[in-house]
Amino acid sequence: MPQIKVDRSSRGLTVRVAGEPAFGELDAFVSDLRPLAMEGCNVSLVWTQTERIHIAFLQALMSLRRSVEAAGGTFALSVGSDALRATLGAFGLADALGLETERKRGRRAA
Amino acid sequence: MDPTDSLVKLFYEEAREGVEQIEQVLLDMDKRGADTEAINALFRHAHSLKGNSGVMGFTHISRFTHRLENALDVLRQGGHELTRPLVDMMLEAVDVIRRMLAASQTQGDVPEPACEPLIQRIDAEMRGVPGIPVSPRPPSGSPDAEAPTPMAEMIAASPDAARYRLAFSPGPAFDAEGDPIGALSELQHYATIRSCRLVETVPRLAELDATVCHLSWDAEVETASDPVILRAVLDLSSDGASTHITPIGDGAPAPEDAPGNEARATGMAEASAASAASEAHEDPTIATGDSPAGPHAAPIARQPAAQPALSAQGGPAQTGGAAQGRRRAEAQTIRVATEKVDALFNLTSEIVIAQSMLNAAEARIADADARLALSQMERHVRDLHERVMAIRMIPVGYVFSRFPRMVRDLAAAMQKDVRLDISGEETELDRTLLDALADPLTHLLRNSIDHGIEPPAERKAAGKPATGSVRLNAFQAEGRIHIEVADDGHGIDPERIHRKAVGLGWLREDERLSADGYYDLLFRPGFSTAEAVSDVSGRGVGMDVVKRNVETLGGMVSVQSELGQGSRFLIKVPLTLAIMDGLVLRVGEEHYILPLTSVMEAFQPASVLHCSALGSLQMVNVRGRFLPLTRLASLFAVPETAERTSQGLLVVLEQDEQQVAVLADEIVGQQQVVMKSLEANYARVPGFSGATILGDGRVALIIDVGNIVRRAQDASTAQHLREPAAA
Repeated sequence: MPQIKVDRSSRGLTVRVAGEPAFGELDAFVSDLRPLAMEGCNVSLVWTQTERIHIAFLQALMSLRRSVEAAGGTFALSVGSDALRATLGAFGLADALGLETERKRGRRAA
Repeated sequence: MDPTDSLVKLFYEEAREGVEQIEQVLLDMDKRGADTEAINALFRHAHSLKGNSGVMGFTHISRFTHRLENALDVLRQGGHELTRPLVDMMLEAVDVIRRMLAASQTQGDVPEPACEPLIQRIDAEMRGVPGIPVSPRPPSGSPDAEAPTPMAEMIAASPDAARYRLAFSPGPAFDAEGDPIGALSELQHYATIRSCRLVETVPRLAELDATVCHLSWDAEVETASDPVILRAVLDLSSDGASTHITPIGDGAPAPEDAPGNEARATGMAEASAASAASEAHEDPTIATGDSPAGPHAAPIARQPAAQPALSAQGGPAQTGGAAQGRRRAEAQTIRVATEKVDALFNLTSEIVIAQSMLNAAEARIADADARLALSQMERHVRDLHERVMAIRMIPVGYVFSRFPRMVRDLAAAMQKDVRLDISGEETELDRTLLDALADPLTHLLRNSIDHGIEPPAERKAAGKPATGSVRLNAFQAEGRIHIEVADDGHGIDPERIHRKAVGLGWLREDERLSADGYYDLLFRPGFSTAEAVSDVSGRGVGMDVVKRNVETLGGMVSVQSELGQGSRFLIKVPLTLAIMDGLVLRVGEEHYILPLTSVMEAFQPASVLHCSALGSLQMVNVRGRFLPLTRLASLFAVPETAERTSQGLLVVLEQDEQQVAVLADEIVGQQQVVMKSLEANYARVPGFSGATILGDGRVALIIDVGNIVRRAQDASTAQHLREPAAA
């Protein structure tokens, strides 16, 4: 089961997910996400230590993003693995997930 | 699938080698502990097997190896330590893959029931124990990155890259085995992605059924590979995956120009964009359910052109200097079918025979230039033949590599601790001989573990280390290849053999043999001292087969043993069965060949010989040594022309430190002879190891020196036993 940790601050929620979720944990994962969508506030997901992820989890995150943004909140995702980030980028998934890229982060910092 | 197809044959060759490599690495790690390099090697072999089997349409093999690859990936990222149970399960997986490969050759792509339970056990094992950090994955340009296999290069060898429109959907529903992300990632190894559009209809979380797939892709790719490979890669990603591939000609619509649909579309973002053009599209607009989704809603970025379409496996790694170096090194060798080598060898052998005929006719050639040319040609033919011979020589490690697994499994089954030490793997032997030695060596090793090595408690009680040692060693000596199988077990008990032989009626109770005499009984059919018949041994078959097989190869097997200390079985075989230097003898009107390596000396006996007879046994006195004498004319039942011994020619032969003398009429000469199998062309004839064709076209039989020596020894022993009785 991935470790999910939610930090609340004035800037919103930061959700940290560590570990590689197994497909059988998909329903539990989505259940954990549902309260976040209800809050309708800023959500920042930080996914670390994962190079392989079943696409069903990413689809769930897209769904979360859609819900959060529909409620007027913002959603951001960062992924710890370079390899996974590159694959997500190459196939349009990074954009669909609002995945933070190095350049985006650099430009925002500037 | 046509099994004769070169790609199919190459697949099976590579698959077999890959499985052997996986097994070898696992056994090495089991012995010496896991390290990053070894785990990376495992991953590479599994990855190649997965990719190649996928391309061949063996989806079950591909999926199974893919899941193994997942487990290996966890290992190499430090997510788990390699435990002994995990090694056991991985070795089981090796066996499963072997079965699947064998089944695929006759039944095609069929499932293997053992796969799923085994994967579940591996998963359970890996979830059960937290990990010890292992070094992370090497960078793609490092030497550890995957190198392309010959098959991968072959399937990607089409010189003309073509563009294709590729529509891919992971399926109506996701499943646990599916890995569309992995498939998409792998797609980049086979094709350059020119553009890619994600089409998604993902609902809000409240309406989401997480297992229903709302994603698909529309891409334009460029590849030099057959598009069927791309389809194979993607279709493997999950059970319900669908892939449609259509060629793109000039003016054909690119994905971004394709008709829009009601779904949202997201363009491919560049992984490492650098161009100003892509920078302009840096912050892509994501079409959402609340915004219009048009075909141009997202920017289309370009894949860096550095991705070589040539490599099916290596991907970006092939651009690295190390990979280029490896490819250069690989270019130094080529894979050639053994039948082609055999055909080349046979043809060269015929040339050698033709050369012998020319040599025989040399005396009739008057022209000096022609004689010179003949002399030069003889040198070149000999050189050619030796080089072709060298191609057939392969390291004995080729056969030895199968034994660590066998010893490990046997020892575990018998609850013994056994360490197998292998040396001399680089010693080269003719391939035909090596193949034939596999069974005898298997028997000897099994016997060492079953009969030789004691259980740990017994060893400790005897003051030995609990772990028994079995040594498998090969080396070249006396112009032959020696292979020894030695153990530090309890040795062979002559008394036990005696009791067994008496029980079998082979010996009288009071009849005693030398230690060697008892050891010889081990090789008689039906002899076993095992108390119980097991799967391993005890049925009395095996050692006789060992002896027969080795002798068929022109070799011999001997035993040394010390009670309580261990045993050593030594197999000696010729370097090759194909060609040898021979001494041509004339006996009567017939010509025979003696292997030159067995010939100690030859001389006219008149001045040195004292010949005496002990009953039917004749002995010759050669400078004070009495050697058993065999008259070849009598042995082969041909009329001899030398009426008296002193008119003939004596040849002293030695094998296994035993010397005998044979009497022939004349030494015709010495020449390289090409050995032809009697068994293959006629029938096995005791006393002869083969035949050859001489320069004058006549067939000469090749004398089995071992047989002559044994006959002489047997006759000597029998005479020795008769003498006291006569007295």
